[in-house]
Amino acid sequence: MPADSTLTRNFCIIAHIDHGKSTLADRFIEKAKLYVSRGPAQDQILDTMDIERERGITIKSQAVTIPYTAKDGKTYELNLVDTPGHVDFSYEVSRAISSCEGALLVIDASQGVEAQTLANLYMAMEHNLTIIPVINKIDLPSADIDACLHQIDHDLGLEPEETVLVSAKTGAGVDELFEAIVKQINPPEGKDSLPLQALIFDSHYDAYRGVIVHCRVFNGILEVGSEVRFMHTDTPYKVEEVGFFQLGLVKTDALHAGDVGYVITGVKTISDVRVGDTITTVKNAAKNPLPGFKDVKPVVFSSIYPVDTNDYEELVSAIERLKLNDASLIYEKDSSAALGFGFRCGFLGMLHLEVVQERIEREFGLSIVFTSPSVKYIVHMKNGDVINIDNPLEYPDPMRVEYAEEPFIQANIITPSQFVGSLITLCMEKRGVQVGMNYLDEKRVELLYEMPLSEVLFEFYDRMKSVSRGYASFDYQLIGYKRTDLVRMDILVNGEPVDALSQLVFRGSSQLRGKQVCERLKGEIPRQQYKIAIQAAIGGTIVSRETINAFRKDVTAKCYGGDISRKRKLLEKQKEGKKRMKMVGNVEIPQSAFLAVLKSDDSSK
Amino acid sequence: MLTLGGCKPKSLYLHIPFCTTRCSYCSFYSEPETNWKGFREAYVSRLEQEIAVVVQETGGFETIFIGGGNPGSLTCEQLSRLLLAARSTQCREVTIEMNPDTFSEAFFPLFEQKLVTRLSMGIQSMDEEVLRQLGRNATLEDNLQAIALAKKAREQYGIDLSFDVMAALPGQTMQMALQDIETVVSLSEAGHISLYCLTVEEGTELARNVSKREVQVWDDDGQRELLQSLWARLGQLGYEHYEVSNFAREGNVCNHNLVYWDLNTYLGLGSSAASFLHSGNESWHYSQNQDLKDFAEGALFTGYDKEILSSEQLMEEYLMMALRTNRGIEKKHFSDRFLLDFDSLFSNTIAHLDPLWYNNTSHLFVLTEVGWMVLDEIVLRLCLQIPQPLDRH
Repeated sequence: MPADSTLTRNFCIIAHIDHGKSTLADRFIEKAKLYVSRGPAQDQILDTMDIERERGITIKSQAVTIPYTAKDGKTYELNLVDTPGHVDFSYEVSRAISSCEGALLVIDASQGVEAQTLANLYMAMEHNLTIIPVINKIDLPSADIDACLHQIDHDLGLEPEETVLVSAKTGAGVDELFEAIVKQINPPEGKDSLPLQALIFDSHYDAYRGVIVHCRVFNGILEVGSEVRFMHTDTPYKVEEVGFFQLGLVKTDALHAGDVGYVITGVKTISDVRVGDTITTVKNAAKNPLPGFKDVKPVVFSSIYPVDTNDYEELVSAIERLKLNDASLIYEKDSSAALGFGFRCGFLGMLHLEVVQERIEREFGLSIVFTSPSVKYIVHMKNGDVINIDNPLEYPDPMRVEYAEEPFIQANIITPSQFVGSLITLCMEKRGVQVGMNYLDEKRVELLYEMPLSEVLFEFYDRMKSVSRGYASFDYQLIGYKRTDLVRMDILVNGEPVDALSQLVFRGSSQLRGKQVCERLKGEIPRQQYKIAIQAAIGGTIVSRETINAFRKDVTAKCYGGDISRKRKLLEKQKEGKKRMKMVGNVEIPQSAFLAVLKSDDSSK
Repeated sequence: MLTLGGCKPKSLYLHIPFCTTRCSYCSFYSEPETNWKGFREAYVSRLEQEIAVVVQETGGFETIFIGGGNPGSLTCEQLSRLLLAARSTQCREVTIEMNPDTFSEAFFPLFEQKLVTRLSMGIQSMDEEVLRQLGRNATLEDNLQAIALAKKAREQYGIDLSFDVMAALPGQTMQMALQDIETVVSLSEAGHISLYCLTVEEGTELARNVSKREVQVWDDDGQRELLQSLWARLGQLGYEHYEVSNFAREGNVCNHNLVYWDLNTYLGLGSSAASFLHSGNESWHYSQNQDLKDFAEGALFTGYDKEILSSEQLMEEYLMMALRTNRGIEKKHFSDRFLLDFDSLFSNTIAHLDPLWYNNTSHLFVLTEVGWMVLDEIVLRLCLQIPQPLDRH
């Protein structure tokens, strides 16, 4: 690796989901001969989790150093910092962005600029990054390069002449892009002689080597054997190993100012490492940490229970192992009358929750149920006490409550103008208040709304995609708490409250919400031996009711010699289904029923 | 490759996958006429040779069942050859299925020579429109003639008769279904009736029509009411409800089918036929995987896939089958067979079932007609109690 930091370029890629970020990253790596033949099963090299590949999104930041010999004959060290691509992880994105001097703004030639792209672009601009516009997928028949160039000029205020046209799929334009990176992006500033300041932008857990911290050195030298301190957590460590990211980890003696690499210290768990923290040396310490540190707090809370209560021990170990690699997951023990022992967890958003669910089910083979997710409310009591509530079960007696507050966000929606009407209707339905509406050009509108976070979390995104036929894009930030009228809605199955289904809802929506939940449960709970009543109740008042009749007939008409084997295989499947049922009282509730309650309503389909 | 492995099954099933056309609800393996012309003789010839070999090995079969498809797609001469090959002194029941539209006196020699003792005919419905809807070849006229002809065969040769009737058919009312039973029973005075509730099987034309909402089928509540009435009526007419879908007057039960429900061993030959064999500590299925052309052209005993059953799977199959009959499960027989005590395995689950569903005594567990209505659920719950893997020691 070059000791000369003028040969280093640190950059990230900003792109909307599906605009081809990971494919482009793969192409870089391939061009750089780090990786020769593309494995058929694993398309995107940097997206290492199954879920990431399936959904086409990056959840964990990744980094890779690509050696590149430019047309000037010099060999550069290009550090690509891959950023998460979802609004749930925007803090991680901001840390990754601040580790770089430049950003590639990838725009899908057939889709144009979208909200997510804009939000991250503004973030990059705030950090004074050099932006190289990249129009990707130019090989598509639907590519509209001129329109994209127009947007780059008009909407983004960037230089269209500096735009690089590529096809990550075919590899066209990638060489030009390498040259642009070398020419346009500044080499890192910073001096080895100054006290050490290294920004932690991510970390991951390796079963053999422990916690591996991803960092960018801004000043000073991070050397093997030196004593360092994480400034925000204020803990000292000894540097055991440092190195660069290739497709694996490549050891070196020291990371210098401007370098992006990893450091292994005696850090035991990933929770001890805070993204955004600054590493400095114990001797000759930096006066100040690097700016921008935030203690990221979860915004969605839900409890996880094993479907089979006997699986609790396995759930404990699954959560502990997930936590090793996911510092943003927080949890504590919880128990439920209906579901037994489990965990109360905090998540960065609904995607984060879904990722955790899928990982527990896939990587650990456990069937789990989630309770209705909740945001964190602030409840002001009549006696002057103020309490935070994220679990509906802890909601106090309404007689003692003065008022409650709920978190609000500002939503930034970008949409083709023909969908503005339906999006406004949707936002109003979600208790949104319009704070702005800007025409970005003749066809595209930016809508700014203040909305309760709880409305956005649960079904907003799917509904928005549905009413805009997928064209609208969306980004949000928390803006604080506002007063609200909150009630606790309980769900009763055969008269017994199922605590896991209780939820805190806005009084004005409670009737509708109760009806939706009852209908959804009716759709998911199969007929059983006895008639089942499903009710939604607020306080002592039933606001909605559905009845599931007892099953009446369930018998295979023909079963002879030729049918046995097939019928037994069917039985095996049914047994698996039964095992995914949760007994609540004497009613079997399938896992899907718990999940259905969380999902968006049917009116969106 | 099929081998008996020391097992001597006492029952033989022969599958004749030839049909003139396919009925809309049918999920059994069969091929329409255009696909089998030219293969029929080769098919019969291989089957005949396989039969000859297994009869040698087993010493003969007590029950034989020729099903389809439509065995009436073969000639009387071809059927005779198969049955002559299968015949032995042990033989006490030979059933042949016949579709009404292809049944004729041309098959009477089979009865005359005592090669067949029992005739089973798929009448399905006595309503012209319903028959058409089901895609049956037979018209109402064909059904009436076939019943008359069957009676004639019984009078002349003393064979037993069984008729299949379907219920809960699209376009059928409760009244029509009851009338079908009345008509078939009064016209035929058959000793045996099979009454099947229409099942929409995946992949059938019926399933496609239902999903397109072109055909409407009965809901569960309607089916239950209908079955209750039909079952009660058959009881009044003197039939014993001895299996979920089967009814017999005194001495007319189908012994061959009881072998399946008792999970005793049987051998199935021909395209898509299934076998259950047992020897030593091992139980296994064979299922024939060749289509009729491959079967016709294939070497003897090729194309039979073997599936060895674990003790748990065996017990699952046993519960699934045994609870279908009014003999139920004899607890002594269960513990002899599986070396586990029935009550200690299942009494807890049984305690949670509706008591109207079963009779449970110290030596017997048997389902009632009400229980049969929800048989699959009961079997599922019992199967969940089977320890995995089942430890036989």
